[in-house]
Amino acid sequence: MFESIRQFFADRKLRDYATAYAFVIPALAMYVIFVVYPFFYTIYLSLTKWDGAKPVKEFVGLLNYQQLVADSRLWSALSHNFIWIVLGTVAPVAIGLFLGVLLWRGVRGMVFFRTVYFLPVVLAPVAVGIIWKWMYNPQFGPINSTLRAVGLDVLAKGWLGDPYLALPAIILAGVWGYFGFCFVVIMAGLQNIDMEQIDAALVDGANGAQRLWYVIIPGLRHVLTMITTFTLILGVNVFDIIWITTRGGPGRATHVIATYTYNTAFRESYVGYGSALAIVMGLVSLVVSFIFISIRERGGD
Amino acid sequence: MANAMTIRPRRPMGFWIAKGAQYGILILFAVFVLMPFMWVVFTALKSNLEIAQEPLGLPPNWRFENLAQAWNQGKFSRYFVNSVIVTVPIVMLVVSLSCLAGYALARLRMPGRMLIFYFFLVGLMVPFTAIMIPLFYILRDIGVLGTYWAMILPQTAISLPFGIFFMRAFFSGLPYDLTDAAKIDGCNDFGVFRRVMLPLAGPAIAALIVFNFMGSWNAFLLPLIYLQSDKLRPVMTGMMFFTTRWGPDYSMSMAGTLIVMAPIMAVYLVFQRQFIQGLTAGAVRG
Amino acid sequence: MEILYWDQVSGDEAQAVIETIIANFEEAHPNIKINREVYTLEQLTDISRTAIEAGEGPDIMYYDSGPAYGGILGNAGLLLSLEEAYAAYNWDERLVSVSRDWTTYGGTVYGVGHEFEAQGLYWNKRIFADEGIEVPSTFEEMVALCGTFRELGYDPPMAAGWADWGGFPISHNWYNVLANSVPSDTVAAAISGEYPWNSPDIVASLDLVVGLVEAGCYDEQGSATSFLDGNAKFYTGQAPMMLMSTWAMQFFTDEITDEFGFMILPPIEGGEQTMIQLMGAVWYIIGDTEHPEETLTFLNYLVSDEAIPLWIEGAKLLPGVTGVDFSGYDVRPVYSDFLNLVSGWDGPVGYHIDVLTPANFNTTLWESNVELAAGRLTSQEVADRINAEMERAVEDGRHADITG
Repeated sequence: MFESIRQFFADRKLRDYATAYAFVIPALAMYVIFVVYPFFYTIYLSLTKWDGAKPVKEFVGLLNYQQLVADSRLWSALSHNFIWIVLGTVAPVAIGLFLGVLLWRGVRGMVFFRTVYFLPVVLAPVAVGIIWKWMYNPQFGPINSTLRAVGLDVLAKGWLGDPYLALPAIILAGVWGYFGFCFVVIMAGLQNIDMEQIDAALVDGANGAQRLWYVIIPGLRHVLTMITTFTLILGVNVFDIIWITTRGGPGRATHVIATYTYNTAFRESYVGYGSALAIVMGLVSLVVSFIFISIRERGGD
Repeated sequence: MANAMTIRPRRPMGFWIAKGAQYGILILFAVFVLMPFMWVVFTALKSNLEIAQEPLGLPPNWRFENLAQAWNQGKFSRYFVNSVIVTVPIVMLVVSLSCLAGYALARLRMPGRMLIFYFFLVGLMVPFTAIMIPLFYILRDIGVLGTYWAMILPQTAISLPFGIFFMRAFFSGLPYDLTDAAKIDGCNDFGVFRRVMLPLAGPAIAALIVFNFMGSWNAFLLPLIYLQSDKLRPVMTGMMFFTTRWGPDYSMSMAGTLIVMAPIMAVYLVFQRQFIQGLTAGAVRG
Repeated sequence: MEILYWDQVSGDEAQAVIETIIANFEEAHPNIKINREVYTLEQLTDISRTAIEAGEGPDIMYYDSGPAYGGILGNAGLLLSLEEAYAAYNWDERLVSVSRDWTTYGGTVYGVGHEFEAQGLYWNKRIFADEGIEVPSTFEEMVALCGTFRELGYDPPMAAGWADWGGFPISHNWYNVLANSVPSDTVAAAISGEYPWNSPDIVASLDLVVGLVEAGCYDEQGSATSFLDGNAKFYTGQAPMMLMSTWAMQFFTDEITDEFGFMILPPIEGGEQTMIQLMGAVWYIIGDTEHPEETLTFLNYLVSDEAIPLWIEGAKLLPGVTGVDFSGYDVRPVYSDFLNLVSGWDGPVGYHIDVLTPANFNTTLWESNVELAAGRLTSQEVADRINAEMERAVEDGRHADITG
C-alpha cells in the first residue's frame, strides 16, 4: 500500500498530475457541493409535491410539469422575460453605439462623459429600483412633478401602476442602470476598427448609415455578441429591480420567471412546483446560451 | 490621405452645427444619467412637507440631520460591517481558487483537463434561481444558516465558473518560454505558478477582484433567502427593509438610499479606471 | 436574557405605545430584555418561514392569522403550541373566543389574537356637512355619491391605493361587498372548499366592485399609489370617503382636526348588512425559542390589565380581551362609535376572506382583482381563476374548514 503510494510519487508524470489536480480540487469541491449537487436536487424536488416542511416529499413524477404547461402565469412571466430581453438588448446597444460613434474620434471632455455614463453601472440593481420607484412616484415623483410643472398634466401617469406601462417603465430603469456598460464595451471595440477602412469608405462616397452598416457594425461583431450575451443573461435572470419596484404587479403585468419562482417556493410554500419552475428557468437559460454559442461559432469564422 | 481634416474646413457652418449637435446629445445623456441622483440627494435633504410642497427644486433648508437620523434608525453601521465581513472572504476565496484552477486548466497536463473545464463552463449557464431552493435546505442541514457562511459559501461557488473561465483565458495567453525557463532553473509547478505566473497576473487579478467585489456587495436575492437575521443582514437587503418599512416617509427612505449609494460611488470616482476595467473585463476580453 | 420580537405595527402612535409597554415590562422584569425589530406584513411573509427554519427567527412574532400566514408556520411545526398556556393563564376566559378559533391550525392553538377589527365605510364629517350631503343608507346611494363628489371636485371620492401589498387593498373592498351580497353560510362553505367560487352569486359580487370603479369612486392612479399613501388622502381631507378596516383609526393623529364617521357598509339591495370581523394580527411564539417561559410571561403582559388602556387610548386598537368597560376612555368620537357598534351588533357577521384562505388563493385573488379594476379581466374570469386555486389547495389539504 505505502509502497505503491511511494511509487506513485516517484513517477514524475503521476506526480505532475497530482499537483495539477491539487490546483483544481478546491474549486471543484466548492462547485460540486454548492452548484452541481443543488441543481440535481432541484430536479429531484421538481418531481415531488412538498411544502418545505413535511418529513415526506411525495413523489409525483412529471405531474408538476404537466401543470406547468397549462399555467397561464408561467407563460405570461416568460413573455415578460422575452420582452425584457428584446428591449433590454436593443435599447442599450443602440444608445451605446450612437454615443460610441459620437465620441469615437475623441472629444474634449471624453473622460467626463465616460465617467458619467458608467456611473449607474456600479449601483446595485436594488438601488436602481429604489431610485426609479421614487422617480415614478405618481404624487410627488420627479417625473410627474416635472410634467405638471411644464403644464403637461395629461402625461403625468401612474407609471408603475399601469399594466401596459409598468414593464417598459422598469426596463427603462434597468437600461439607465447598464447602458453605460454597453457604451464602454462598444468604445473599446471601436478602438480596434481600422481607420483606413472608414476613410476608404468616405472616399467611395459612403454616407453615414452605409459606413455604420458596412464597416462599423461588422468590425464590432465580436463585441456586440459579448454584450448581447450579457443582456440575455440579465433578461433571463432579472429579479431584484422588479422585486423592489412592483413585486410583479400590477396584477401579473411585470412578473418574470424568477419572481414567480421565488413567490411560489418561498412565499406560498409550493416547493415542488417552485422547483419545476426553477428547472424551466434553467432550461431557458441553457437554450438561450446554446443558441448564442452556436451563432458565435458560425460568425467567428 | 483624404481624411476628415481636409474636408472639414470647406463647410465651417455645417461643422459647427454638427459639433454643437454632438455635444448637445452627449450632454443630454449625461443629464439623463445624473438627474435621478440629483433628486435622490434633494429628496433626502428635505422634510416630507417640503417634498409635498416643492418636489422638484433645491431643498429650502439643507437638512443634513436627515442622514444622521436615517443612519441611526436604519442600523446602517451594522449592515456595512456585515457586508464587509461577507464580501472580503468571498473575494479572497474566488480569486485564489480561480487562479489555481484557471492556471492548472490552462497550463498543466492532466487527464480530463478539457472535461473539467467544460464542466465548470456549464456552471456559467446555471442561473442562481435554478439552485436557490434546495440550497436553502443544504445550507440548513450542514448547519451554516444563521452564520455569515450561509452567504460566503454559495456566493463563492456561483462565482467560480466565471473566475476560472477568466483566469484560464488569461494564463493561456502568456508565452510558454517563460515557464520553460523557470523549469530549467529547477522550479516545480507550484513554484512556476507562484514566482513567474502570479506576478504577471496582477491586472487580471485586479479586474477579478473588482468584478467579484461588486457582485457580492450588490447581491440581493441570495442574502434575502439565506441571511435573514437582522444581525447578519448586509447593506443591500438592509436598505430594502429600511425603505419599505419607512414607505411613505420619502425623505427617510431616500436618505437611507443615499447612505448606501454614496460610498460605492465615491470609490468609483476615485478608482474609475479600475472599476471600468474590472466590470467590463469579461466582455472585452472574453 | 434577551427576547427577539418581530413586530408589524405601522402607525407612529402605536409604535410609541408598544415601546412604552415594553419599557414597563422590562422595568418589572429586570432580567428580561425585549429586542424589537419592525417589519411589514409583506416582509414577514417573505422571511418568516425560512428564517425560523434556519434558526434565525425571533422568539415571538406579531403576524397575521389564517392558513396563508400563521397557518403555514403552524402546520410546518415551527410554532409553539399554546394549549397549556391557554389553560395556565385562563386565556379562554380572558380573550374573545375568536382568538382561539382563528389561530387553531390542525387542531392546535398557536396564537393570541389582538386588534379586533371590523370593515366598513368611513366618511369625513366636515366635508359631508360643508357640502350638505347625507350619509348614504344604501350601497347604491354610496356609489351614486362618488359621482356627486367628483362633480364637486373631490378626487378621489374614495381613498385607496393598491400598488403594493400584492394589490390586496382593492380586494378588501370586495370582501365587504361579498359579505353584504352573499349569505355568510355560503361564503363559509366557499372558504372551506365546498362551494364553487365561480358560482353566479359570487361573480355578481365582483361585478359590484367593477361598478365602484366605473362610478369613478377610486383614484385614477390607485394602482400606482401605495396603500399608506392612498389612505392618507382620506386623513388629510382630500377624499371624503374610504372603505377600510377599523385598523386605520390609529392614523387619526392629534394634528388631524376633521371628524370622521364609521359605519358598516350600507346594505346592498337584496342583501343584508353584514359586519366583517377579524383579528388584525396575532402573537405567536416560535417553536424553537430558548426562553419559552419568559416569552410567555411577556405575551401575557401584552394582554394584561396594565397594557389594555395603552392599546385603547394610545394606539386606538381594540384588544381582543373580554369584559372591557370602554366608557371610561378618552378617545375620538369615531372610535367610541365603533366600540359601541361592536358591542351592540346583533346583525349577521361575515368573513374577511384572506385570513381564512390559503396563500396561493390569495395571491391569485389579489392579482386578478387588480386586473379586474384595470379592465383586463372580467368578473367571471377572476372567479374561474380563484376557484381553480381553491381546488388546488383542497387537493393538497391547505384550506381551512370552517363549516364544522
